[in-house]
Amino acid sequence: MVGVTAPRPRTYKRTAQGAARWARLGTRGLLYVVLIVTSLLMVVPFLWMLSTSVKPDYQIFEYPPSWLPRQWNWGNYARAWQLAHFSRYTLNTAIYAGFSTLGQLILCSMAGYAFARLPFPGSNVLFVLVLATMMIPFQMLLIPLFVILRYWPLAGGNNIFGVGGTGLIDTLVGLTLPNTISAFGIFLIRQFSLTLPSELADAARIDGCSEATIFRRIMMPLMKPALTTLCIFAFQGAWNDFTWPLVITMSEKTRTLQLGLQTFQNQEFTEWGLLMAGTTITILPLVLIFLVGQRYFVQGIALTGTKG
Amino acid sequence: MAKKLSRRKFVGLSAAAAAGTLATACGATPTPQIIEKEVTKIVAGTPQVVKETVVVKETEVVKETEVVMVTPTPGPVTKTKVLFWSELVGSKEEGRAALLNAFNAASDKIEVVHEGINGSDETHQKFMTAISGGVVPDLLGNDAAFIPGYVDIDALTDLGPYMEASSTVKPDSFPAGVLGLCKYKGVVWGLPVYADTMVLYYNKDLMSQAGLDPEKPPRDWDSLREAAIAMTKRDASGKLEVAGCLLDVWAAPRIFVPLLYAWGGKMFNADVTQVAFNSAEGKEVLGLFVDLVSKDKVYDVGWGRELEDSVNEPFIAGKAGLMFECPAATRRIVRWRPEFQNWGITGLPAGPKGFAQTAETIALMIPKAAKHKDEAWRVMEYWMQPKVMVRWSKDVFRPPSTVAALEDESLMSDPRIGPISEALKHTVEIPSTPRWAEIFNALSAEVELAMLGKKSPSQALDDAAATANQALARA
Amino acid sequence: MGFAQATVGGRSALVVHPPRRKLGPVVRDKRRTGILFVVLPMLLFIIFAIAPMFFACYLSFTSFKFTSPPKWIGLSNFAMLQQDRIFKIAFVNTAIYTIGVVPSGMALSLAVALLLNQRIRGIVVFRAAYYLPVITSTVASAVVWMWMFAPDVGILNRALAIFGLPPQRWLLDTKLALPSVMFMSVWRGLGYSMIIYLAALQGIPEHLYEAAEIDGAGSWHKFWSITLPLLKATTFFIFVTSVIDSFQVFGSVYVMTGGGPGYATTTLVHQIYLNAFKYLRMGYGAAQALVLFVIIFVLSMINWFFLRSDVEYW
Repeated sequence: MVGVTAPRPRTYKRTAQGAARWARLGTRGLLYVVLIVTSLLMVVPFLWMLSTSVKPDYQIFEYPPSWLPRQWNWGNYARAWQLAHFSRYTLNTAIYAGFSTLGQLILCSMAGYAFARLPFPGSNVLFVLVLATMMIPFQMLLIPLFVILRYWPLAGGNNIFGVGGTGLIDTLVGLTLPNTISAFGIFLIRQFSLTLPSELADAARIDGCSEATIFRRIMMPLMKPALTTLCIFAFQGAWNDFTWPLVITMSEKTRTLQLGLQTFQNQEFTEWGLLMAGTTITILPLVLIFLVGQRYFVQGIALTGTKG
Repeated sequence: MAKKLSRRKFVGLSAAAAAGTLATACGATPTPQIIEKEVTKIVAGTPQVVKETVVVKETEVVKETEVVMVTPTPGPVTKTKVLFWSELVGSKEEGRAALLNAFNAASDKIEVVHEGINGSDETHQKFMTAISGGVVPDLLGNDAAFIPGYVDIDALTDLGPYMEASSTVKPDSFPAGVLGLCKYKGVVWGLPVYADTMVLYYNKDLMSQAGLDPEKPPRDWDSLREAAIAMTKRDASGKLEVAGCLLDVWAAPRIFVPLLYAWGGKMFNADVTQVAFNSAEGKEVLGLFVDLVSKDKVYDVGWGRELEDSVNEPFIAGKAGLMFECPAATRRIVRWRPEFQNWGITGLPAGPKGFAQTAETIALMIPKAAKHKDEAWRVMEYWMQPKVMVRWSKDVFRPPSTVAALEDESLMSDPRIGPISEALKHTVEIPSTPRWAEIFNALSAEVELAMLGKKSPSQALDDAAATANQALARA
Repeated sequence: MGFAQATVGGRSALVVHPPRRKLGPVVRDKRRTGILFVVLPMLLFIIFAIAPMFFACYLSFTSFKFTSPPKWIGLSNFAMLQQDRIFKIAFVNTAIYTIGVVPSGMALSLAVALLLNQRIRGIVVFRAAYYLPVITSTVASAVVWMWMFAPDVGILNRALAIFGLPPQRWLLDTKLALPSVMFMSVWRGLGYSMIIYLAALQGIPEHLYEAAEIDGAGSWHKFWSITLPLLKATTFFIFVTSVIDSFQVFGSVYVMTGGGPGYATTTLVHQIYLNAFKYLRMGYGAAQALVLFVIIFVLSMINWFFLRSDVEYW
């Protein structure tokens, strides 16, 4: 980094600049090496998953380990799709994840922003309560949640008092509704909202904007990276969810992909090729969502010291 | 047989290079081998019984299949739906799907709708959550060890009346020791679908090489020790190449219980208020295990564990002379190295008091609040029919649970199932208790520590007994 | 807070007292909007999170047998807890796990986020690479990691051999099993916190750094004086959620070791799961969960007190 100084003889300046440029390239090269090596460590299981999904059975756990299949067994994908009823389950999972994400995006951003910037009496207590719900393991909440959905009034054959039928059990609504709100999401948005500049809000207020408009027009666009993160986590959480769908679904019409994958594995045996093919199919949307979300992360690259 | 999850087949790669085991090395013949087997498969959504001819050449395995029997897919009719939850997936998936599809096709009144869950604990969790909300399936298939707990919370239907009314399924249709798994307080609460028991696998080639008679596997502990020592091979640096006898930490507690009885000990005292496995006999038995590993050095605990369920699994690769396992291992051998046929199964070795085996099973149960109990019973009856049971048994590689099926010629003559049925004749009945899971987990953890050398067998069993008694004392 | 807001655009005079005799329209608008914004979320929250949470707490004072209503037994469950040596072991394991995983995880993910916040070609690919462990199936991750930890052929022992160190038994060793699992957890959780830090870094305006550079600040100084303080709110978030997650660790450990060898890797939620469901002692499991809850709550509140970030930076 060459600062502004008194003029120097040209040759000296050029050499100094040249040296600086080489230093930058050197740092950059080192950076790349570090990144590539550590990234490899990160993706090894994923690569193993891909590799196993197309290998013939006899090649799956051999030594010396091989990454490329000798016979490309694409059939695993078709078989997995069919045996695990993926067409139906993908739809269910997409609805579950999609609406969960939509719900959290709207509700958590509103609530999180309110807790950060729109104080009202009792908002702190309420927020602590929200945090507290994260501190109970989900295993404990399964039964009360199930019971609440079972006795939901006017659903699944229930009368106004919630008796008589099965309520929201085994319905996509019952599966999704509890997940449209999340303490994690509220907390995330609250923390991000705290870092938003208030000058813009002040200026808008002087112009006569209401708080709601400030939120919608100014604050939310500023929070794009945070909202994207929230979407990624909400979608992934619902997509990969296992325990909740396990207990709430009772039939084909609501079952999700993670449950479908169980066909291939039990306590003593795993159908590796099919399981890995099925898992790969299940993971792909998550990767896509992540990559798409990265577009919202490119605004305002902050230079944090190692100026590229 | 339910295993501790740490042993699930999260397998990795390779054995030591020195052993160099690929299917073609290590004494396997270079000419193509042909193996035939009959298996039930789901093809294009329809279960079929196919005969597979597997030709193993040097670098590839070529399969030819010939359809032997097709079970028709059921047509559209409004039938009573029986909701069936079970943990019969994975290796049991195809067999179960074929069986249920056949039932659905044969029955014009009942349709079984099945939901498969991976894991008996997960199935149990789903059942418990649902029952708290007043929702139950019509038929539940889960580990019979859960029965006492379910009965205590009044969740199951007494099957006695059904068996009385039935002409095909009676209490004496099952071996006493196997039906006993589904009994609690003298009442039958479920029907067993197979008889899973720990057995001893032996490699005939390795036995011959060690100068032992390959047709005479060890039937008592001393012979077992000698055989194991003779078959163990370690390289110059002491690294294990061939294990004389595999006895991993998940298997040890499971053979501890039957061998405890073979040595004259007991699991519980008379009224099941205290455990009795930390007796002198129990400590002797556990001591034998520990000595086998640490003194006789026929095995290193955990050796080859990461290779389980792969072509390099020690026994499958021919690097273990003896192995204590449950019949699921047969499934693995057949799947990974079908050409490996020089092995056998026999029951657990005898102790001073003779032979003893304990069994485990998946029980078919009818929840008390089920809506379609009679229909569920029909499904169970169908399952217990000899032909169906034999077919099912072949699909899951476990001995059947019914006396009639156990006498089936094709099963008894199958060297992979016959000896297991023989061994089952020595089943001991252990008193059922709702605390079994807790007690067994405590026992497993302490046995593991003893096998790893962290505690003496005596100390381990006493600690396990303390925890177990605490569990029994609490309601 | 009331004082500060009274000075922003409101009609209240800039006086110290009397304080809240009359609230300005801005404050009222904020309150109204605040309540409006949280009404629907809180309604859903009360039904689906808060009520179940209170019910779970209530269960800890009962004996619940699933098929009949819970029976009040007061503090009996907690008395039992006192004598439960396995629970104490699980507590110690979980504490060690948290202490090991949280700080290192946070530091590493921040470092990675800083690294990946550059204008480098292919940066999205690298970010995706770091994110992959988060979504890769537990089964696949466990297979590969167990292979890496394998005593005979795993690369970890091979690496040790290169340095002349003796091979370890890792997951089979009562002392090393927990650290091994901790290491894998850090690997797995990196991408998660990284994304959050990345999002937060986007919000730090460039002009702050440029101003600092003009003043002659070096990289370290920029990081310490600008980046770190401005990440306080996010750091608080990641710390609290990491502590919560670590104290509740279960699945990822269970899949690698099943809680063994012996009790070396059993965790609090593992015990809760076993007791509540498998051993059919839901009330006792709830009591364990309540103890866990109190621990986490206290830790979080302490942290809130020290890292209070109701500060505006502009």
